[in-house]
Order: sequence, then C-alpha cells, then structure tokens
Amino acid sequence: MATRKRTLLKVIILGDSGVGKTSLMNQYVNKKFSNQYKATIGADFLTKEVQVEDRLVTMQIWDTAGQERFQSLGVAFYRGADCCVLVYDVNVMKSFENLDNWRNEFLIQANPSDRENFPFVVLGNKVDIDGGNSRVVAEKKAKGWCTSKGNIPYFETSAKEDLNVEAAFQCIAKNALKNETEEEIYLPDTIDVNNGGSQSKSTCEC
Amino acid sequence: MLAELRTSKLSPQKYYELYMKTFDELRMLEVFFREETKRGCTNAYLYELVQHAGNILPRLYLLCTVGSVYIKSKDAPAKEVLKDLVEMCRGIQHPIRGLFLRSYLSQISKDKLPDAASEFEGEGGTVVDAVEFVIQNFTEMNKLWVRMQHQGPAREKEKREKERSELRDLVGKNLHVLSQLEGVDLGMYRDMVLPRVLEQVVNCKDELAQYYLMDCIIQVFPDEYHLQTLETLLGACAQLQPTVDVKTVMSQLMERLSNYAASTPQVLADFLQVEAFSKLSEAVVKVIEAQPDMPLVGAVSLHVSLLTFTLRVHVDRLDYVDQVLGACVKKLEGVGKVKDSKATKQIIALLSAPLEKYNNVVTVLTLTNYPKVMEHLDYGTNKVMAVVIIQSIMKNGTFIMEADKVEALFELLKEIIQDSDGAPTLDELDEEDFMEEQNLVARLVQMLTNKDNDEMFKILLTARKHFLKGGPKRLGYTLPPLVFSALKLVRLLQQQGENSEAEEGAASSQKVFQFLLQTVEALSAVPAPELALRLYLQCAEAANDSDLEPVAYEFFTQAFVLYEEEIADSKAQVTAIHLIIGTLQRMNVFGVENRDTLTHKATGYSAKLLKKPDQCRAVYACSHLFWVEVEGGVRDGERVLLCLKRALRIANAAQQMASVTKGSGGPVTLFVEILNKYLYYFEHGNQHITNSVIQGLIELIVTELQSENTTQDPMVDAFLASTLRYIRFQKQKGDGVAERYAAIEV
Amino acid sequence: MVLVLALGDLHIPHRAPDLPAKFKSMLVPGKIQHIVSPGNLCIKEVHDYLKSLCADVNVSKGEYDEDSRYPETKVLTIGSFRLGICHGHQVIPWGDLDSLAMLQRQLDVDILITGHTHQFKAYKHEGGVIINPGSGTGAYSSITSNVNPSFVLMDIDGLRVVVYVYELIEGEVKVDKIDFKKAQPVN
Repeated sequence: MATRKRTLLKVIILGDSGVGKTSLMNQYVNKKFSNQYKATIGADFLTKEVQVEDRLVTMQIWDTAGQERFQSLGVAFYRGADCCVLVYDVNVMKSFENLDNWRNEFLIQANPSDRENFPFVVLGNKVDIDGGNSRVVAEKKAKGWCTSKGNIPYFETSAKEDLNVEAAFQCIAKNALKNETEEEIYLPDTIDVNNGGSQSKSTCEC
Repeated sequence: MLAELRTSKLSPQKYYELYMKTFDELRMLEVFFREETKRGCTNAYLYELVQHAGNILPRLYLLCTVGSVYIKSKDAPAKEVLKDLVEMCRGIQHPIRGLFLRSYLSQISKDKLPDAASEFEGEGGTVVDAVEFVIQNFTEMNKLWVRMQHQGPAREKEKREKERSELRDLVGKNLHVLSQLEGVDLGMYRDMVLPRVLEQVVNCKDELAQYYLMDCIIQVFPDEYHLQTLETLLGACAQLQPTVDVKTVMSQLMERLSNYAASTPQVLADFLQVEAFSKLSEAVVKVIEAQPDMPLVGAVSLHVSLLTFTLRVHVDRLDYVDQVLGACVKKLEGVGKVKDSKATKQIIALLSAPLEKYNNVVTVLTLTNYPKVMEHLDYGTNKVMAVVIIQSIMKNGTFIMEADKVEALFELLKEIIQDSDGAPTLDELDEEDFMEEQNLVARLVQMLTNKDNDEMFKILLTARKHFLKGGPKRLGYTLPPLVFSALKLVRLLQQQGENSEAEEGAASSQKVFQFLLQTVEALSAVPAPELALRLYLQCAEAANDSDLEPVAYEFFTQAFVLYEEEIADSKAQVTAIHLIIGTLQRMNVFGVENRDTLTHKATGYSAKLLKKPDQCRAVYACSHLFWVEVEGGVRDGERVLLCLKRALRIANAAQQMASVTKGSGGPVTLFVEILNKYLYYFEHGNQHITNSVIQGLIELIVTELQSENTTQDPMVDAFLASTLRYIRFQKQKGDGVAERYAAIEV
Repeated sequence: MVLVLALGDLHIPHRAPDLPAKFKSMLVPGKIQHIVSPGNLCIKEVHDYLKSLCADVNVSKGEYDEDSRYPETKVLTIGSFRLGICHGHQVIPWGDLDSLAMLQRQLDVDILITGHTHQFKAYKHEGGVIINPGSGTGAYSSITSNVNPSFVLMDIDGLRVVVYVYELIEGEVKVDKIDFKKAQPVN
C-alpha cells in the first residue's frame, strides 16, 4: 500500500467569503446550485472521480470557510494538496485584491516542496450577475495578475449557469496530476508528540 | 498511528494535524476495505471484525471507516448503520478525542446520509433519519465541548477556554451539514431543525457555546429561513445567558437580512408580511430587558443596528426610523447627558445614519425623536453633531424652505446658535473654533430660502428670533448674512412690483425695511459699529431703489449717528467716510432739502478727518456729490469747484506743515491727484474748470517738484509723467475733447 | 507663460455660502502662478482656500475683509507687466472708469485689478487695462442687480496678455477672451 501509485488528488479551494467556493464545488460534483448564501464552517471535502487523459483519479475537493472566524482549528488540511484553486467574485474588487493574501497564506502554511511551480488555478466567478454589467474586475486585469504569478491558468466561471465549471476543474485535475511527479506516498511512522517518551502514560484507558 | 490519537498531550490545533494525517491514511484503508468486499468478504463481517481491535478509540475510527463502506454498498440501510455508529461513539467521553472522533463520523457520513433525492433515501431511511443522526451527533458534541470547561484544575481555565474556542468549528460543522441537506426545506427547518438546535443552545447555558452557535445558525442557514422563523430565533436571543454578547449576534442577523433585502428587492413583501421590523424592534427591547447588566453602549449599538436595518430595508418608512430613535430615547431616559465615550460614539452613529442615508436634513427634521436623542449628548459632542448637520446641508446643497423647518432645525442646532446652561463661558472656548463654527452658521443662512416672499419673510423672522438669543459675540457673525438675505428679498419685492394691499403677515418692502432697521440696530448694540454702518448704507441704497425717501433718510441718519458716536479710530473713519460719500453719490431718491442736509454733513465730516491728506482726499471726493453723471443728476459746477479749491487749500496746508515738522517737502502727490480731478471735470464739461486753472496747477506742481525743499519720490514723478502723457494723448484725439485740451500746454 | 487668477468680492459667508462647485472644480492647485484679488474675501478660511491653489496670493482690502493687514492698494510686477490691485470702494464715483484710470496713473500700472461693483469689466484705454473680475460667488450687490458669478484668468506672455473671463450663467460656464498688447516695455 505504501508504494502504490496514488490516484487521489487533493484540491483546496480558497477565497473571500461569499465568492461562491461552495457553489462551484456543488455545481461540479453534484450538478446543483442554490442562490441562497450559506456560510461554510471549517473545511470539508467532496470527492469526484475524474478521467484525466487515460487515467481515472479521485479528486478530493476541499471547500473552506471564507470567514476567518469559522476556521478555528487552523489549516492543517492544506497538507498534501496537489492544487490550490483561488476564487474571487468579478463584481467585488476586494475579493480580487485579496487573492494575493490567499496565495501567500497557502504557500506559507502548506509549504509545498516546489513553491515556484506549485499549481494554482484562478477562477473569476459570478460572471452571470446583471449580465456582466456590475463587474468591476476586468478580465485583462485578472489575467495580468495570473501572468505575473507564474502563468496561473485563469477561468471566468458562473456556478449558477454552470459556465466553464467543468473546464476549470478539468484543468485543475490536469495540473494537480502534473504536480504529482511520480511522487510516492509518504507514510509517517510516527508523529512528533511533544513528549514522546511518556506516551504510555499520556494515553488514557480508552 | 490510530493509537496515537489517544494522546492527551496535544493542543487542539496539533491534534488536528495528527488527525488530518490519520484521516488521509484512513482513506487508503477505506479503499482497501472496499476491495476486500469485492474479493468476497462481506461488509457485515468486516464490521464485526474491526470491533476486535484492542483499544476503543482506534476501534471506533475503524468502525466508522468500515461503516462508510458498508453504507456505500447498501448491504444495510444507511439509517441503521448511522444510528449504530453514533451510539457507539458514546464510548469516548474524553472531550478532545470524542469531538474529533465524532467529527470523523460526520465527515465520512456526510455524503451517505439518506437525504431527499440521495441514493440512500428509501430503504436507507428518510431525511428525518438524516436530520436525527446529525442532530444527535451535534448534541453529543456540544455536551462534550461544554463539559470540557469543568475538567482539569481551575487555574488552567483560561488556557482551557482558549482550547475550547479552537475546537468550536468541530461542533459548528454539524450545523453546516444540516444546512446542506436537500431535504431540509423551510417546513422541516422551522418545525424540527431550528427548535431542536435552539433547545440545545439555550439549555447548555454556556456563554461561549451560545454566542458561537447563534452566530453559526445565522451564517449557515439561508436568509429566507431566518425571515420565516424570526420569532423563534429572536425568542432564543432573549433566553441566552446574560453575559452573552447578544448585540453582536443580533447585529449580524440584521446585517444579513438587510443585505438580503438589498440584493433581492422582490423579497420586501415577505419582510412586510412577517412583520420583520416590529419583531426585531420588540426583540431589541426584550434582549435589553433580559440583560440588565448590559452596558449602555451595548443597548445603543443594538439600536444602531436596528436603525441600519430599517434604513436599508424600509428606507421610505420614516415612521419606522423615528420609532427606532424613540426606543433609544426611552432607553436613555433618566441617563441625562451620556458620559461614556463609547456610548456617545454610538449615539453619533445613530444620529449620522439618517443624515447619510437621506442626504437631506429636511427629511431628518420630520423625525420627532431625533432632537430628543441629540439632547443626550454632552455640550461638546452636541456641538460636533450640530456641525455635522450643517456640513451635511452645505455638502448636499439642501435648501430649507419653510419657517417651521427653520424652527425645527435651529432647535436642533441650539447649542451652536445660542448659549445654553451647560455651556462653558465663551472666554474658555477656543477663539478659532468659535469663529469657524459661527462662520458655518453664517453660511447656513444662505440655505434658508424660499421663492415665495411671504414664506421667506417668515423664515427671516424665525431665524432672527433664534439668533438674537445667541449673545453679542455671535450676533456679529449671524446677523450680517440675515441682513443680506432680507436685502435680497427687498430687491425681489421691488422687481416684482408690490401688492399695495398686502395682507396681514404678508411681506412688504415696508415691513422688511423695519426688519432691517431692527436687525442692524441689534448689531450696532453688540457693539459692532463699523459693520452696522456699512449695513445701514446698504439698506439706504436698497430703500433708494425702492423709492422710499424717508426710509433711506432714516438709514443715513443711523449711519451718521454711528459715525459721530461710535467710530473713533481715524483709519476706520477714513473708510467710513468713503463709503458714506460713495453711497450718497448714488442716491437719487432725496429731495433737495434732505440731500443738502446729508451732503453738508458728509463734507463736514470730510474736512474734520484727523490727517490732512485724508481730509484732502475726502474733500475732493465730495465734489462728486455735486456732479452726478446720470440723466437728471445734479450738476453744480460751482460747488464742485469750491470742493476742489478747498482740497487744494488743505494740500497746501499739508505741504507747509510737512516743511515745518519734517524740514522737507510734503505730499506733492495730493496736487497731482487734485490735478487729475480738475481734468475729470474739465473733460465732463464743467464750465467752472478752465484751461487756465489747469495750466496754473501744472506749473505749481512742476515748481514744487523742482524746489530744493521737496524730497525725490519716483512714484510722484511717474504719476505726474503719466498724467501729462494722458493730457498729450487727449490733445491728439482729434475730437471735441481735444479742442478743449488744445489750450493747455505741457 | 504665466497664469494669473483674478478673483474677488466673494463675500463668504455674508452673502454666499461658497464658490460655485463648477468654479471650484476648475481651479485646481498647481496650475496658477499668482492670485490677485481686489478683496472682500471676508474670512480667513477663504484666504486659506486661495493659498491652497497657489502660494502667491495678493489681496487688497475690501470694506468687509476682517483681515486688517491687507493694504489699500498693492503693486506687483509679473513679467514685463506692472499690476495694481485696489478694491475700489475708495474710488468715487464707484466703478467710474475715468476715476479708476486716474488711480491707474497714480499707481503707474499697466493692469489695474479692481472690484466692488460685482460686475465683470475689462476696459482698454491708452494707459493700459482696467479689469474688474466681478464677484466670484455672484454675491448680492447694491450697485449691480442679478450678479452672475465670474472670475478672470490672465495669461501673461511677453508683451501680450490674454484675459479669459469665466462667467456662470444659469449653471453653465461661459468663457470669453480679450487680447491686450503692451506697446513697449516701460523702463
């Protein structure tokens, strides 16, 4: 088991509160959309089997809380991510400006081995709203940012109208798979318990 | 590795890291189990098998993992397996371990619940089973979480609370799962989910849990559910522990609802139908009652939140807005002036919100409770608020067009317009601040205006009534703009042609002039004689334009009295004299007698100025009182000449005085000035001014300049040079003027 | 090329709340090299505002100015031109061009900036130009009825000065232009 070529891809979705992270995931995995805003608490995933080129892989898509106060346990789930999806709302400038913070935060916390080439994908969501009349972040501007950060692939999406969602996740899967670089699964034997010696004592009767 | 989860040494975040690693491995194990079942091993067998694991915690993790495969295979109904698992988890009563174990259960079961339209519905159960399962897990987790505070020594309480806080999302996550269930429609939410969840929240009686879980409920469930269950949700707010920060909870609810209304205008009907406003208003009152120890700032900020909601959702309902302010007034009853600076800030926010929303002070003036709230601000803050109000008026260009609105506005601004009991004496105030404030009030006067003359007059009377209570120091700022507003009204009345049979209360020139006379008189009593004199003269000109001789004469009389009695400074006298002469020169309303009296006075004043050069200049200026270049104007050439001669005599006297006192020549410039005046009348056809007189004057000046006595002054040289250049130019013109100039040699 | 702003008789806050917004948006800091004002700004705040547009502010005293340090007349040299400023309430009859011309001879200036009547005027005569920029706020005047707000910008270039007058008529800014050339420099 320890040396089996893995078929599980871990994808983390990040972005400001209300940009549509949960909706994008639900649209992609369950083909469902709801206009209602429901905050996400903590982090959780859905899985989906995807065919990438000739391989069938399982994508574990982690949806996260955009509101910091619902992320009380930290971000340990970033660990082992194969791709990070940054989402913003094309109608809210601040959500675009915050992409930088989300990206940095991810790189610091997840600490991937190859920071320079770690795959990100950026999604500009809610392009459907008001027929695009209320958008404040121009596509050119978003693409410019993506180019400057090492040619991050960019998609304009609408979870509501299922626009570009499939294409975006295909790209996400492909890039996540590329990141794998024939890596073997790493199985830790133990974990750093700050007081390893007293493990027996510290273990209770249950 | 699973055994490591049995540790008690890790902080929640570290434990979470360990849990995540284990979690990843368990995913592999899940695949393995699945493959085992494909090889012929039954799920039931595996489910039994793992129960032989030695320690209970690893055993339960394994059981959940197999359970996940079991449900997925549909070999057993989902509801049965879930029920079994959630029961079995009771085996762990250690809070952190229990919370994470149950969190694992929640995570692996999330996509296997017999939710409506899911593949597990039917034999696997119904959405009710799904909800039962999640709520049971939630309830158990919350109990573990709440109980945690009582475990361990009391001295570590702070650390424990911090750890508890870090664990909160594990509990809250269950609510998120509930919100994601397809089968939980409004009915189910209202009848089952919300009551059960709230029951747990209220009964746990724990401050941290109550605050956090209320926040979660508000954030994870959709707005329309909140709107339809407002009463239940708000009812719970009033039942929370008295220490819970319920104002933040309610503020967040109101913010969500107002965002909802703003983004989806068609739901406004629902807001009205469920009476959202009145429910929220009542809840605010109840919550404040339920928390007697709530500081004032909390109560006021609850009203700020309610007001913000009202202004966003029911912007056209001024009665609602006023009601919120009224509720706040009630809360402030007996408090007097608010001293707490945080509460004061909230009151300012409460008062600023309608101003910012409506951008129109007139709308705000209709709110009867607005001034009552403002009264609770201390003197200094009240003035700050008054300035904010005036600035809003100026920024938005709001005209205040009715006298009763002016009345209401000035009542609101009274701390700035008049002295009140709580006010420090004016000496203590920063002079510059005071000036700025009062100049702002003066600007405000320009915004009090109505095209209807009768209403405008009422506005003026109302404004003056308030201003007169302001004390002498303010009058110098507030009355002049009022005088000019009245002068504008007079001009309108005059231009529109007056209704001779003006009704009682209607504006007439006569009445406005009376108003002006009294107003300027009040200003002169301040005392501000220089300003008052200028205004009297302005009024005199207006009376002239309205063809009211006695009124104009009265204003002149008042101006002269001030000049004689109040203006002593020689420099101020010079300016006043020029203004008197300048104004009098323009008057055409006077008959000969009145005109003579006033002219005589003016020339008299001129000749009595202190400094000779000032005398000289005033006297030659007086010459224009006898020569007016308009149709029908006076043209008394002889008296013009008399003035100029008198000016020359004074210039001579000044010259002599200078040579005696300074031993050097004096103001030759005065002679050049007089020469220029001669030229003026010469050109304008005054027969008494002849070329020979001018010739003589030129020669006199040239002699004076060449005399050894005279100090060199390049300015005078240049003045004379340009005057002579002018004469030469006039000679070359080749018209009637040139003919007259021909005889003058330069 | 030098830009000189002539603006006066604002009478804030006695007769007007502020300069018209349209004027304010035109008068941006850094474009104007000198400001000349015949006076009646009235209060310090207005002087400070002018200072914020340009460091060199020259004001003569109007009868309503609270700042007693303003002189009755002031002369300054800009390029090859001599400019004089005087409010004009001292010159009787008020607004009389012949009398103002006498003041101009006395000050020995090419351009005389004056005010008091609240009516824009640019008068060319043998001895130079007399300019009254009118009232920047369109303030009430006993001399002129129905005053439109106005101000003047002078573009001084060598021996030439182009006078632009901006007038706010029924909410619209109208611009007019008057050319003036000096015959020869004065030594």
